[in-house]
Amino acid sequence: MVQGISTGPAVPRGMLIADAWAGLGDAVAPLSNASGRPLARTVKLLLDPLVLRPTMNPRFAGGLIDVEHVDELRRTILEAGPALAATAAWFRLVKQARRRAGVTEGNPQDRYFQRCFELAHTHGDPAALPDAAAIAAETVADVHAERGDVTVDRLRRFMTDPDQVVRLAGLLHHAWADRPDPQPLSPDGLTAFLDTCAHRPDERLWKALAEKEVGTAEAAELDRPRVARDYGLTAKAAPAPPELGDRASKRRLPPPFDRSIMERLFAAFTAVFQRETMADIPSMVVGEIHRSAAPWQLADEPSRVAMALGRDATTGIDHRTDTTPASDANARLQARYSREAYVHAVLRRPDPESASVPEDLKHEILHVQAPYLRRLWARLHGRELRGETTAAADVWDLLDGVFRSVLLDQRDRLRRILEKDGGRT
Amino acid sequence: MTELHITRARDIIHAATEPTPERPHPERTALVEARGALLHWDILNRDPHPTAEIHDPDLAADWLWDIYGPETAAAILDTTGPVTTQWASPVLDAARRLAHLRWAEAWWPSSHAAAVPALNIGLLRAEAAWRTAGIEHLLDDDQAVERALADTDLTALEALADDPARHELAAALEDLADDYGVELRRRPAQLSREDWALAASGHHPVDFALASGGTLVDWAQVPQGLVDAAAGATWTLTQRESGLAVTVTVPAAPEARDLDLTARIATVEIPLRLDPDTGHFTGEAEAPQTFLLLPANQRELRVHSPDFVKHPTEPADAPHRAALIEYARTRLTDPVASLAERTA
Repeated sequence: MVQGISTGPAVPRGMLIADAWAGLGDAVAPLSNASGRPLARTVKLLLDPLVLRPTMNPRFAGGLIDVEHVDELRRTILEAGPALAATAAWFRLVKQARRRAGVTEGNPQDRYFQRCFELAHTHGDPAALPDAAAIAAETVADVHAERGDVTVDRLRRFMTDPDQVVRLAGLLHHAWADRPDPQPLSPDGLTAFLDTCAHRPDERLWKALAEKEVGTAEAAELDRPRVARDYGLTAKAAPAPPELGDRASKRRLPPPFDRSIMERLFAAFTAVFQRETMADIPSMVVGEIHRSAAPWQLADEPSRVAMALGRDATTGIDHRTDTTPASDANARLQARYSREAYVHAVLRRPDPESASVPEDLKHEILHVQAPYLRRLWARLHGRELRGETTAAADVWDLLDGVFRSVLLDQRDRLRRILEKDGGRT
Repeated sequence: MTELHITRARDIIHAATEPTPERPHPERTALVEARGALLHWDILNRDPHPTAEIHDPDLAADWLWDIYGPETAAAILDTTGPVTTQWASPVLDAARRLAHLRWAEAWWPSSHAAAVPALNIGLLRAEAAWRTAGIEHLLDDDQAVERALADTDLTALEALADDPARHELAAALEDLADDYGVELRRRPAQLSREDWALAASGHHPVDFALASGGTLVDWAQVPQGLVDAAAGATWTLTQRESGLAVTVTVPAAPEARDLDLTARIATVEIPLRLDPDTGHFTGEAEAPQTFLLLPANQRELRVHSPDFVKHPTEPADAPHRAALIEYARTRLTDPVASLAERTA
């Protein structure tokens, strides 16, 4: 695959990486896919953040690499070869340990790739290590303990402790009573950001949107009758203070603004998260109470700006494609929605308006902004709890990724409708 | 060698195997949704390379070389006019096979009349999961492998007679499930499929037929695997003691599911139910006396599945259907076809 490399002034990054990767041989097979290319998550979790680091090395960023940097990129990957080989060996051991421990939750690549890279740096190749299996088992136990029932159980105990309930209810009451009147702001800068975020995300513009509190200003409309309901964020005519709540289940969560404090935290606990970056339970609960009374019911201004951007990017999306897009991001999401209709026809999915499709699903397919904003809110909420910041460069991935995930879920639900018998096997 | 015609329209770059960048009819389209582009193959034109509809060239540049070769990929992104490619790669092969499996899941023309047996959906999906894993690095859906594995049921593979390919596939899927943390399903094995040759032999005594006619069922109006892809729907008008009645019969596909159909002729709507004894969907409804006076073009029969479409639409001309049925038959004995096709 090297023959094309020197023909132009720039070379596709994916081709360079695949080429260098092939040079690492079988030792990295556990990090490769069935065609021998590095797994998508190998690139996302290992090569990009830990080896190539395009944010620090802009010459390794973007879809095309200048010919003058080609050799350096290849060398960087080859030099990381021993570390990657050791990472792969650790991943194999950790997977075995995971199986022995009976852990089935989550994607092992997401959960262990970076841990294995750390192990590779601390211990080197596990083959030379007598207690490698024990270290792998410990890693699995560590990652597992950071999650799951232990934390949910502590949350439940804390929130049902009678003394706490009184105190927390008081906090919730005051947080909502003290909500400032939101000040709507006129010209916004949102559209300017949406016009460039997919390809040339403007960090200064992004920071300015947060500094001017554009997200907060844009939340003002949510208190008007039916606005938040039309956005799918509540089933009520207007947002009301949530309950503290004493139970939660993963199924049938109400819309975000109608979730109890307990449900909000529970939903985030059961999604992917890293316990070490999260606060302790009492401060999380208090934080969640204040968050519920904040604009968009989110704590950080960049999250609120992202909600306003998501709203604007999905306004007017529907089956008619002749409407003039309000921004580049809006046009891109509309194009994705139109492609989806074509994909439905190719995959022979039932018409969303046919008799077998339940009303709620039909409504969500035809009015996709509501499920979109619900999911966007949940993602932003999770990021806040994990203390993740959102940079300008992350915004489009977030906006587009949420839309894709909403459409794919709808597609799966449509398919299952005609498989009530579970499909023929 | 594949010739590709490159055109740029609005924000889309087309690299098309046909001179015009038109999408083929959904019934003959095998599709892969890649990052920044749709790739589609026309089932009836056997080009190894797909047509690409590139909506994000920056994203597509990352992997396009793996489908068309580096030089052709660069030309697609930078120039117009025809280019050619002879590129072969495991990635291209996996992409094409995945697209084909998804086509078969949606459009496989199972038919008693044309002797095209139903495919085993479990097997199809198992193979699709494996092919998905071969191109996960270029797919739009970053959870595509997890999604495909969640649909995979090893029962179908394990029930298969001793085919060396099945052991390999089952082992590969177990490994894959381990890599992605998905638990593969296992359902109790189902009885072997009914003998499709026998089920085709239902016969229908018709007495006092005053008028009759027939039509082919439009594939786009029914889900896959419900109606015999090759046989026609027929109607007959009979005189009953109470008055006129229209009877409609639609041959079911091999191993058809138990969903209902609706037939419409003139103003008469006839609900159809599957009769497992005859392997036909049948139904009868009263017809007005004026029915006999209608000109022939107003007595056209339309059949649709109300669970699948809202309203029946005018059937489009679909001359490619016979070719697709013929194609499916060749796949049954083609050694490079999927396991599901070869073992049907």
